[in-house]
Amino acid sequence: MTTDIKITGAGGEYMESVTVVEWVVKPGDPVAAGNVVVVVETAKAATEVEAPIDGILSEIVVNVGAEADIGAVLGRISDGSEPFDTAAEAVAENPALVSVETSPNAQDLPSDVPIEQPANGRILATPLARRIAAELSINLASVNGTGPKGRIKRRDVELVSAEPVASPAGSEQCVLTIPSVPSNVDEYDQFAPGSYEIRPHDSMRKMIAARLAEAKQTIPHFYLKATCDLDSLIRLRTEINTSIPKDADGRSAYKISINDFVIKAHAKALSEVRDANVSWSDSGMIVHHSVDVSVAVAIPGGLITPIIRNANTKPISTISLEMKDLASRAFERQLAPNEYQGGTTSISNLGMFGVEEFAAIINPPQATILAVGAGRRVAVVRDEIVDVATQMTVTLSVDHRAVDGALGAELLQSFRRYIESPLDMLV
Amino acid sequence: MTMQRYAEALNSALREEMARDDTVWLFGEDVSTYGGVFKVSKGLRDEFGPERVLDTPISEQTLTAMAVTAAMTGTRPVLEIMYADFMPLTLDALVNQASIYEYIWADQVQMPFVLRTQGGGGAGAGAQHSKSLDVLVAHVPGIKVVAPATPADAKGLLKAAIRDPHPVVFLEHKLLYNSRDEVPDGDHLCEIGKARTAREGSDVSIFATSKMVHDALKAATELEADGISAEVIDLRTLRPLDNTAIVQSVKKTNHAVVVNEGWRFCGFGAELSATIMEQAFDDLDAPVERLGTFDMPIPYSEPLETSVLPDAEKIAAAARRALR
Repeated sequence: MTTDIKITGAGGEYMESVTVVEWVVKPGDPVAAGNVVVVVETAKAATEVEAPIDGILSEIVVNVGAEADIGAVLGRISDGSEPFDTAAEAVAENPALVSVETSPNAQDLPSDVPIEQPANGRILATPLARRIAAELSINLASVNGTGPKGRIKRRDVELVSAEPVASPAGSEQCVLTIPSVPSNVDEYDQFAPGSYEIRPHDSMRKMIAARLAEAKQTIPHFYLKATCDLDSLIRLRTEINTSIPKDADGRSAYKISINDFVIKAHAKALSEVRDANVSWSDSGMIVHHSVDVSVAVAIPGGLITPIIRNANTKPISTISLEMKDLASRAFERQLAPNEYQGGTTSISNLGMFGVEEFAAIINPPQATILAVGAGRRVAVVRDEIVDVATQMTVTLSVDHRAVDGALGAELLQSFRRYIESPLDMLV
Repeated sequence: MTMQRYAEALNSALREEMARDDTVWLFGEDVSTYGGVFKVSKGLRDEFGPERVLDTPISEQTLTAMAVTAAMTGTRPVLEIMYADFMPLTLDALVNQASIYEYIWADQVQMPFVLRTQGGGGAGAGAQHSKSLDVLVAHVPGIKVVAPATPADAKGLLKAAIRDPHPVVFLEHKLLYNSRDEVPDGDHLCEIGKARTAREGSDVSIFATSKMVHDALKAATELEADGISAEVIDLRTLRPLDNTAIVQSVKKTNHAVVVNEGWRFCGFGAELSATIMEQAFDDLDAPVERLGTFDMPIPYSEPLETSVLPDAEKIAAAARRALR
């Protein structure tokens, strides 16, 4: 049985046709439900189309570069119930005398079935490979299997163990191998059968898992914390927001948020402390010419980091409008890759949940990420008098390979100055 | 060392044991006057007399029962069953008598007899004279099963089998009788239950018995040309199996090919494969490759016969598969 791969109108009614940009898998390759099989481009964004079922890509109907209408069949996935051309090497086991000419080969065939790496989440690895991986604390999900059916063999594990830590290596994009299967299923043994269900990972979940695990394991993080007075900024924000032109219904054309100021302040600080606007690579420091701020946006099932480019030079109102547009499209998973890939720093703000402070994991290949806590009314001591102030605690996570402690502190100091003297951001 | 044919080495073993122990005697079809159809007992009638080297009627079932009772009553008979294909006729005496009497009657009974037979294909002998039925007897606890691949082991193991106080089935191969190799001089004995490293290697272990050892060695030479270092382990004894040697070799190479000339289904390779899985699981870097004779009667036609039997080429291919 085959299942059609279709692009539906659900992504946005404005779409009438799409262009196929890339087939991520080749015909004959196994695909897992929820994994990307084909990338199409609409007028607005590149969209990744996920496999509807586990199986084998049996046919490409629309080739790269060709257009297809919404609802059209782009390709087909076979569930393996019927033979597939390139895999039709199954051998009948009937030892009838008439088959003598071919029969000796039948016993020589390995027990491999034509269908490759199973899509049920199990990692194929030899017992020896598993043992060595366990000894070396290597996650098999990060190992590329070169044996039959993609089976991980000893050589594959040893290759990984022989490699130094994966790094951007001179390229601006951190190239990561995204495992096509979830990590170790042995974890299941910890829970009573029937007490859970398995929800397959979609590509976003896998991307998050792979990138952040790699970041936390390979980037030497250190953390700098600062508490900023917000009262001036809040006053300025109120002034600005009340002066924004209103429409007939009395609604403002836009409304500046605290976060918009945080983006601007962080970008201004980075443009001042340019040595911190860098990315580590083995072959040399990548020194960025522009300050592009990735802002973490929580969306159903994950998060994405749309980018405010050149945030240091943009007016707050522009940042605010861009952010609103990016966030709403991110929510619909409608962002084009260049809208969320390639920032030079990140901001993650959990203040709206009342989180006082936290430390974020760096988003590789960036060197910094600013974790922003909630603004809160606290008692402060000023000129030997206890006063009430609104304060916000931010934590800067820094890649020590690229940015040293003093430099990071300088960046944070600059950020704090902008937050506490917000007019400086506007001039 | 003396260069000897496999059949000559067996003949020496019989002669030496008969001279050493006058309770040893031979019987079977055409073993006496004719000297055995493969000349293994040649000259022994003249040397030891017709009382100790007896020709018998064609009745394998009776002959085996004779061996059992003769062994129980204090002699060491050596019975020749002309073709392994006739082993089914011996099974009642082996399975229901020889293998269990020592157990039932504890120390009151010993069963020191040897049943020699020869099997194997490759001689164009047809479906009734080419089989390897090793597992029919290897399956049964209480019977030792040996299968020498070289003249030296043929001699050493036959002498050990004759001296063994328990029943031993001694499996020869028709295509090995004329093979020549060095045989140690003197009272050469091989321990039953010990495998032999026929060739050292580091990439893949090939476990074989009898003639398949020679095919495995040819395969190893072929593989060497491709830079693959194959180790060949001659198991020599099917029961008791030398698990230690098997596990040691798998731990070294992490890849295993098992070969036995019997049918593959429920064959001896299955036992080897399971043993490796049970005892060396964490050392396996590939599934065990198992070779046996294809699941059908052995054809008389030479090309067809060649195609169903395991050989050097198929062993080399299996080793390459294991190493993918």
